[in-house]
Amino acid sequence: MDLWQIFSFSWLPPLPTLITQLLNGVARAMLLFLISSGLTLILGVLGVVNFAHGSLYMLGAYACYTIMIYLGQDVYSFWLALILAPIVVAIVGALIELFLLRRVYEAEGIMQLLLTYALVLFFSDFVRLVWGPQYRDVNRPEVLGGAVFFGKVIFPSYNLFILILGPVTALILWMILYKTKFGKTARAIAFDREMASALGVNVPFLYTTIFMIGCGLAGLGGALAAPMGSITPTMDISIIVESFVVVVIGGMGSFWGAFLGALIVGVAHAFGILILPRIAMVSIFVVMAVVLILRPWGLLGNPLGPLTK
Amino acid sequence: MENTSQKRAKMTGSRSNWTWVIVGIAVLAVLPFLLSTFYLHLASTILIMALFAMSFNLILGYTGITSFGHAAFFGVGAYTFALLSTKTSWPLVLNISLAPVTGALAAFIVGYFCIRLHGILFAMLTLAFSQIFYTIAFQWYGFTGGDNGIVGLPSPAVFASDKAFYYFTAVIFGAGVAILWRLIHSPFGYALWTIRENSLRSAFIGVEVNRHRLIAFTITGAFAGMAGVLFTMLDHQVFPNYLHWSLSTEVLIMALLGGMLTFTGPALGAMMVTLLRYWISSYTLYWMIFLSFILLIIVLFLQKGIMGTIMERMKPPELRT
Amino acid sequence: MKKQGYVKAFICLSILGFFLIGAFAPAEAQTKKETPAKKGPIRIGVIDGYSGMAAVYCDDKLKGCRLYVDEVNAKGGILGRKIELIVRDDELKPDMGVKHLIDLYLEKKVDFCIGGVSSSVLLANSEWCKRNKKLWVAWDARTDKATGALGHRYLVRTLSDTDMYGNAGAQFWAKQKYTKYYTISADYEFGHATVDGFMKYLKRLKPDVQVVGQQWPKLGEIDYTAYITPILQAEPEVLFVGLWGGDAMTLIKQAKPYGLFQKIPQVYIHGSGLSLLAPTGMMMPEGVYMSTNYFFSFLDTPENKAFVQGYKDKYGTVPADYSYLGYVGIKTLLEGIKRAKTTDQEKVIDALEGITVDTPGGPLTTRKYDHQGEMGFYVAITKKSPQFSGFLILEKLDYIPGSRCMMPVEEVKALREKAQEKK
Repeated sequence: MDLWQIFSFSWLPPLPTLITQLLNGVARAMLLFLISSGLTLILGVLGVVNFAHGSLYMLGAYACYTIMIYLGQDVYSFWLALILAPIVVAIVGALIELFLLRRVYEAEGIMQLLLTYALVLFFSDFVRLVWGPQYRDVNRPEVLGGAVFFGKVIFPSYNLFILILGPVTALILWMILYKTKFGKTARAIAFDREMASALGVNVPFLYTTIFMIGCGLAGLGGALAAPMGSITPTMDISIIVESFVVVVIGGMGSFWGAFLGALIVGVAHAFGILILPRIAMVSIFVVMAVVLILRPWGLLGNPLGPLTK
Repeated sequence: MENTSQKRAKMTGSRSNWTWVIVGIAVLAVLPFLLSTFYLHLASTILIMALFAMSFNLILGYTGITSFGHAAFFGVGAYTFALLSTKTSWPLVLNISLAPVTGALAAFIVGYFCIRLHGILFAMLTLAFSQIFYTIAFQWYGFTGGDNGIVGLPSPAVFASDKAFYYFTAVIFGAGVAILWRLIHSPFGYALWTIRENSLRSAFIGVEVNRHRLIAFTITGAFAGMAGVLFTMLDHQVFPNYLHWSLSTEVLIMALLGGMLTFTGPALGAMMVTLLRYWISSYTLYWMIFLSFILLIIVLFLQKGIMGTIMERMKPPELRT
Repeated sequence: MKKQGYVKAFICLSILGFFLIGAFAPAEAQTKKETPAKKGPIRIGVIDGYSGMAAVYCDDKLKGCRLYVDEVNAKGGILGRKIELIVRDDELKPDMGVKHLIDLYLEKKVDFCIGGVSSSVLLANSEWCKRNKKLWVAWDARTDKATGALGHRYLVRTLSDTDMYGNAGAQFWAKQKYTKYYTISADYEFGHATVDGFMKYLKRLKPDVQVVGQQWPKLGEIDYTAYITPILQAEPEVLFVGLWGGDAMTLIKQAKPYGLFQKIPQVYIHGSGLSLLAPTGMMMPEGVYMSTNYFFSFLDTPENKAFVQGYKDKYGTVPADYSYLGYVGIKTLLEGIKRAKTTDQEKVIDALEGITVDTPGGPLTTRKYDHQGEMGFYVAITKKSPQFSGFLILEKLDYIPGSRCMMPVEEVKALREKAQEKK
């Protein structure tokens, strides 16, 4: 009797399936985390609800595609694209912040929503104009093209790569936010902007930089997602709703909240499929509603945070 | 900086309104004789959306609540009529009248859970509920017909012609506007306005903030349901995408484009958005870019909306904000 | 205060002015058209989903359509009049589809309208056409309700519906020896109808078939890895894939590292042809079963060769199955006009009932009772080809003609009567 049989019960799927499904869920969660961390960062520090985050993710995917195609999809093209695409998206983010977002900070909150929504519309058609409506596809780098095997568990190498990259990025971001002066200043602004400004912090500069980082994270998510599936002009919609759910569940503006929220959403989706196949569409909103009703500041959010006033 | 009573006066309008109310009625009455079938259809659509947008502004502009979920109440009203008409043999007039009731009921239930939240969290929860409603309509084929919707809905015989239906819509629109006007001018309406200005202070002067917000929210649900059933009767069909969040954002944009701090602004916004959407998409397949430019213009230059900016310009310089 | 009153009055009047312009401008255009109407072009409105998920398919259809229209115009048109197309985007929204339909038929006064990809838009348009006694030719949109329970005189559909191609697919698979099936299809009405149509007929023809599992990812799902694991665990013999377009492509890409195509040798992608093979490119494994209405290399007839060559000359690629649908749709309509010798709606509909049109895919008949095109199906298998380095091609395995997979007229009659009763 092998190890797998000891741990399997007749009413559960066998252990290898459970483990694979868990890994699937966590990998999906890590990709979701990368994108949502940018969203929550922008939300926390700038107080802006960035609906265009999904569009920036989509831009990152298309940028990755263009870079890889231009370089002929050779061995190094993916790694180069992985570095360049987020930079491109970050630059776009900088332009948005400097020329558009700045003008609505002082206005009613609803105007920011309208602005980011206008950006969603713009990028949606822009992507169609430039790249056409066809689905695009890039290959995974050869070294990550196969799968790894742990006994009976099969897991695609690319997904494993994302699974590892997620926590690594989380740690890097955490170190930036909590261990560097820049990060501490950003968090200070998130807590009380006027006070920080009064203490001599260059708020506009930090706003732009944080927005760029947030957009860069979305772009990174897009670049990573590009070789995973197909690249389509409707990618933005599919990701933005999930990202918002993650941010709400974890707590708006909370960094580790985004991590936890992403894990919950990713793993719940993966296991939900095993138990109730048609639950995917609605469950995510039910969880979001439950969290907002019982604990509106999210699981790891701050009840007294600026956005819960 | 104008004081609150001046702001309120601007919003509620002057007493010399009767003259152009009559002008408005005359215009609406005479339109069917000037317009071709297609434009009459478009006019009916605009009136429905104007009713939806103006009632939505009760919570957006007058109470200061942002909701992303109003498409749900619109859709609930629409499906109420559709399901009752196809699955029961109740009189159609009853089915129509039940639409605002179910819309209000849905809004009350949703509002009850949301009311303790403010700002973006409130909006997110309304979105969550709205998407739950959408998913139910979309996935429950056995009951709602799923994403194929329900087509071939009956209409009361008296509305068989386009002109008759248009007049019905115009009458409901007029009645709705009149009700909204009375609401805004009542003590209830003034209380909403103070809540918008400063909810903490209004609580201190004895206004039950959450109760007022919930009542206002429920009322908008009723109007949304009415708009929904009218829209369904227009084309004799209902589809789950009537509950999709894109409709919620559309009505929000209508209110903002027209000017959320004015009474008639949202109606103007409804007209412009509907016409633009239709005209732009007749000429180009890339209508989203055009709409995004228009929105950007509003956000950057016309933050009070079109009607709002015009009103603002009409004031002498010392009264402008 | 008075000023505000004037402002409001001004706005009111300008709104009225807006409408008057809108009302009178088309009136002018109308008078211009009515006098030389007999000699003017035949105007056909095309309403399809050019934005949204099915955009690529709709572009292919329009290409095929334009190819035929250009051919016809080069020969002098139909009834001595050229064909003019007016193209609109319905954004996959039923209310937009109906608005464009009303505009085209009542405002722009086109002669006929064709198009459609979304089943809900088709049903909405069909309903309006029924009430207003105008013809809608559906060249796509597969809900069987359109010509079945909700069918009527003013709708003609050239391509086969979910019931028909489920039937065709089932006829092929019933002949095979496999009994354990697993299905994966998108969770919306079309996704369910695709699976139901197939399973209904398969179980009838081969009662020992078992469905060992079903997955219903949402439409537009970007990550199928969580769906792949349960499929592998169930160890089916045949995996029935009802996904299309980008979804199917994403599934294939994500399934490969799991070795799904080795573990489950029979993967059957139902209802997609070159329109899926082309973007998927070399990523598509060999030995995948597919079913499609048309594939460019299956027929050696002169008509098909001319079509393929003409398409290649005009667009630089071989025609996809959706290009064929566009071509056949418009050809059927124009043939109907030709035979009726008029653009009168009723006479053209009469001419279309039971019409047989020569197409690159063989003769296509539109059944008289329900106006459903008797379009057949090929079941094929993917294969690499030395001629095409960018994508795989299909090798034909079986062909089920439309007449053999249509629902019998009596059954359609019964469905329609039942639907009428409910009202």
